Amino acid sequence: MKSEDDLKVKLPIKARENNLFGIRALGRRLRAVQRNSFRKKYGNFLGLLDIEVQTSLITAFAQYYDPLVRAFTFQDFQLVPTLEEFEQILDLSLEGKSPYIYVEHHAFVSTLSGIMKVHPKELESALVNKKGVGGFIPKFLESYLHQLADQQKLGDFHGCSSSYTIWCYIVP
Amino acid sequence: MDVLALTLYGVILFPNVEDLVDYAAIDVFIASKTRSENPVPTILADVYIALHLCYDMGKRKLMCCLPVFYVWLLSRIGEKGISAQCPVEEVMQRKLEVKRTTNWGEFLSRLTQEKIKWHPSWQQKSSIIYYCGNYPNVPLIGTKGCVNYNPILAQRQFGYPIRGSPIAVSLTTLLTYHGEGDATETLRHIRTAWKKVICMERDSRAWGIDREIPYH
Repeated sequence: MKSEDDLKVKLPIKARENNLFGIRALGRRLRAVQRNSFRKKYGNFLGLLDIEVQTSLITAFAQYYDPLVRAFTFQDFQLVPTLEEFEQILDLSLEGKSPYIYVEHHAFVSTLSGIMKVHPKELESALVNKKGVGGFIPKFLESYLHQLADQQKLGDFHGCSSSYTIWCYIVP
Repeated sequence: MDVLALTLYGVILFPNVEDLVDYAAIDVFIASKTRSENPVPTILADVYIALHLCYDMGKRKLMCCLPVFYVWLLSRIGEKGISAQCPVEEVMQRKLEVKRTTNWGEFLSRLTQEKIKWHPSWQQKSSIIYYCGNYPNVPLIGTKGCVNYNPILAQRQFGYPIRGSPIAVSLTTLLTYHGEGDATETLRHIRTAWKKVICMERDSRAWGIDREIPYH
């Protein structure tokens, strides 16, 4: 005889994770001191990158979500993912900061080219559209990162590919 | 390191379409880099919204920041005894048996409150955000939409049992998808609400609401 809980595992959803092979290889090129400064500046993303997620557990757990109360509901208790726990997991404190505010336009190329030190035209030509969604293929960013790593610049906060150094100075 | 961070935003924190660092992830990265906006509420919002896309909209793939969700989950249901100062470290130390979905389903169906880790060693917070502005709970802005969560149901995770049933109004739901209906208006309300964050403080007696922190 099947219990109610057996029947619960029937929602046809599956937790999916991106392929992390390329980015993990890059993470390994950072020295411990660089990993630490990355963590201080951005949060513990590199630690999370090393976690081997069992998507089967998440798929099973997702069956317990109660959409009305935004909680995972079990026989005699509930679990609720909260900001405070996520802050600690990501090692990124919210105190004194405002949360991200979504804006509807996406005019980012010039800002991003300034941050990445890559010419806007090169960025624009690397943009792709997949299933109606625009963005970069991770491989494009990864190969740029490998290039920085080869120049011992992966750990720099302002990576500057040499061919664009001049451009950095002349474009405000 | 900025380019590395951008890549991680796209691949780990805000996955959407497979094998793509999409505009939404780039936007959160730029907001964090240039306006010091914090991505934690966005990551949490995207977990809830990913669940709603599956439950309400019939999506089959749960795409959100799985490593954070996974670490969170294991910090509560994992075996007791392992204690680390950092939740990610705690998961790394553990040798978790690999199981299939049905086996995890059986494991979860046997869970009771006695088996839950209500007090992880890394948990330091003595106060939690209780509600924001005019919202009875906490509104979150994600990359695809806005959603609330209910801290009142999480009190036990921070050291106190829930006393009685929460009143319905405190569980008022919020769910909008960007670009649809009155989403823009909702965004404006949420932005205002986050200027007045009310925290619940834990002291030796019970939870009390007595702290107002500006988060902006």
